[in-house]
Amino acid sequence: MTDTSGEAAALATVRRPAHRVSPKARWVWLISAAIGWLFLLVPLGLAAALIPEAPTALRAGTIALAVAAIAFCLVMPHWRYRVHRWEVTEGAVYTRTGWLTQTSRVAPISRVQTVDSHFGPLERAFGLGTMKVTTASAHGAVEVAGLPRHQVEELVARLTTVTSRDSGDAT
Amino acid sequence: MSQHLGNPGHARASVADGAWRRPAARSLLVAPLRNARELIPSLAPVILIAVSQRGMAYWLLLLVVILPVLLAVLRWWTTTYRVTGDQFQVCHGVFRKHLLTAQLDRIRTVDAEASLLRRLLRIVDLRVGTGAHEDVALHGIDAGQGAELHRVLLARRRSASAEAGASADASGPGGAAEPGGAAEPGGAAEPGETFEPGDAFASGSGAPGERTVAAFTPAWLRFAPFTMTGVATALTAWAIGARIVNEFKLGDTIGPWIERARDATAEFSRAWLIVELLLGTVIAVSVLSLVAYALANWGYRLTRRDDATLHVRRGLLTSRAVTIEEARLRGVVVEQPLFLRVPRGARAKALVTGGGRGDDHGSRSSHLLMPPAPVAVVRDAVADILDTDRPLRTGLVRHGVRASRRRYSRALLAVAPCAAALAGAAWWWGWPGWTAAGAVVILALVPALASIRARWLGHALCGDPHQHTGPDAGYLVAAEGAFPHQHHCLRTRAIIGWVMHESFFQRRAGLVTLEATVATSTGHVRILDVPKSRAVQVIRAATPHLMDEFLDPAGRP
Repeated sequence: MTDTSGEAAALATVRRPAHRVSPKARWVWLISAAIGWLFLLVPLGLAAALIPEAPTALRAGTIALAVAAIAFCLVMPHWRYRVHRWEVTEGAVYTRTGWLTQTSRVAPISRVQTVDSHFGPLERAFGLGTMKVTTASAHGAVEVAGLPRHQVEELVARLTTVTSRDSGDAT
Repeated sequence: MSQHLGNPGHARASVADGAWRRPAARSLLVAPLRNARELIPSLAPVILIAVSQRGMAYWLLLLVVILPVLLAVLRWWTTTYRVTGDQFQVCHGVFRKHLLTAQLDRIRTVDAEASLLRRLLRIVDLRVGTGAHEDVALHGIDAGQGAELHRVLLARRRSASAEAGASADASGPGGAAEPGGAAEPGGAAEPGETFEPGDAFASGSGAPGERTVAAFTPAWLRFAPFTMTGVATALTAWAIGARIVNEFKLGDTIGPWIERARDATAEFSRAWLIVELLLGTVIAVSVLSLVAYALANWGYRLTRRDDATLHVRRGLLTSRAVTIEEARLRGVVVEQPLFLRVPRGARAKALVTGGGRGDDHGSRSSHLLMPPAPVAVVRDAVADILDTDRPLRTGLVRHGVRASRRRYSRALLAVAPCAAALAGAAWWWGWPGWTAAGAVVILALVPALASIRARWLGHALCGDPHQHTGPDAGYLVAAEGAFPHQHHCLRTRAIIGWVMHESFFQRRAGLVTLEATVATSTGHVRILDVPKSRAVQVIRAATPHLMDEFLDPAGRP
């Protein structure tokens, strides 16, 4: 391989993407996680409360699950907020997402095929949106969720002009 | 038909003259069968009513016969195709008319398939890949015309492609007519099999520079028992058999047989019986795999043409001919399932990009390059196709102790629930002692499998990443796994992005799973559990300058 860079470059690591997402994204994550948990906890709680002969194991399990859910909802959004980052340069789109399992993605601008924006109901309530960049790979979509709406629109406009400059089918 | 094949110039004029053509009328003999298969779900209620009502309702059964035939005739009548100056058009649709137009230079592949019945009738089913979302299917074409169509469609592509621009033939009618079908390797292969479409394509194509890369020999059949197809076939056969016995209440009929067999075996010892059963299963599975292998791969031949296409032909009863455009070839996977390593066998698949969006490969199952064959033959063929044996020869970079340790812990995690369930069943529900022994055996297998998986894990980079094709092309090599062991050789030019996964435990071990995203049907090639600093090196070496602006020389993560 033509690795002309020496020992110092070999030690170089990848830095984080430059920008954080909007702090309000934490609320979006918190609420959507809470809704998911409620779908599980409400039926369990109703059963534990309303059925007199419900076994104690059900009650104890429900309470334990509720505590776990609260802990999850308190920890996950903040952890996620510390991890989620993005950067769009002249050459590439670079993101990092996740919390327990973290995923970094790089897509060269020259290989970008489509640039989409997406505004979910919850995101809209907080004035946020998602930008999604797809490449020709079924596996390589790069998504930045929880950006302020105007920033999403700016990015989409910018990327669209950049990618339309490249010809070829980007495979 | 034979004069078509013998005189390609004449046949070419007859296909590319711009006149609308129909599929062969004799395809009507087989088309109703296909239609019947399509229609059976919607006709099922009719059949049920007819059978349950009896009497006059039996006339309803006529529908089952008439509808498929009617549909076949309508489809045959409404389907037409033609090749005009630089376009290929297919018009079809009974109630709604569809007119598909494809530029000839956009046609990527022309695949042919013919079952035994179709081969007897001298017709083929064609599938024309344009790189758009869906392939265009043309059923029941006359075999000779199909061969001509195949040649004409791909000849235009050839003349349009830049690589072939330098080659002498301008792919005009004269150039194609001149060489004739004199010394075709495909034509010489099976002289008796006149209707084999692969044959027809080879001799009718008039391609002067066709070279055989690998060809089937009956000795390859020895690999069949080591593939898993036999097990799958046996399970299917068993399931269907049990179903039939159930449905038709054959239990009463074969009951006495089973009784007698049981009485006869009563005097044998139990161990002997188990050995015999195992032996019988192994033999049955081997025979089934042998049959399946022969059906799928008999007469296999991989050829490479001057017009930068690869051609795979195979099949005993149903013959298939698949074209792979080399400009779309992004690499090769050499696969060795654990058991296939015993007789030193391997198989190979092609990594091929689709056109357009990249996820449009649902219609085409997979790009098989080589069926299970001697590993040396496979390696030679792959080296030939890639123009270099470097990606197969390069020594792999190991991923270190931490990555090996993860193979052990993960193998243990995978089998622990199974072993625990067996042991628990033996403990609490008093299952026989051998279930507990089974748990111990499963646990004992863990280190063996994990050590194999650790030993076979690695990656490498070779060649020049700025070279897209040819002997110096840059390759990313990634090897992992045991079921099957996969050795990916991916052209670095194919990489259209990177994904780096770090789970909680991977971060603690300083490892990442690096995925190179590609526009093939699998979507990515991954390097499992590679040290993070090495992953960065790989990215920088395979796609120079892409990550430069994201590097941090100070070494902060």
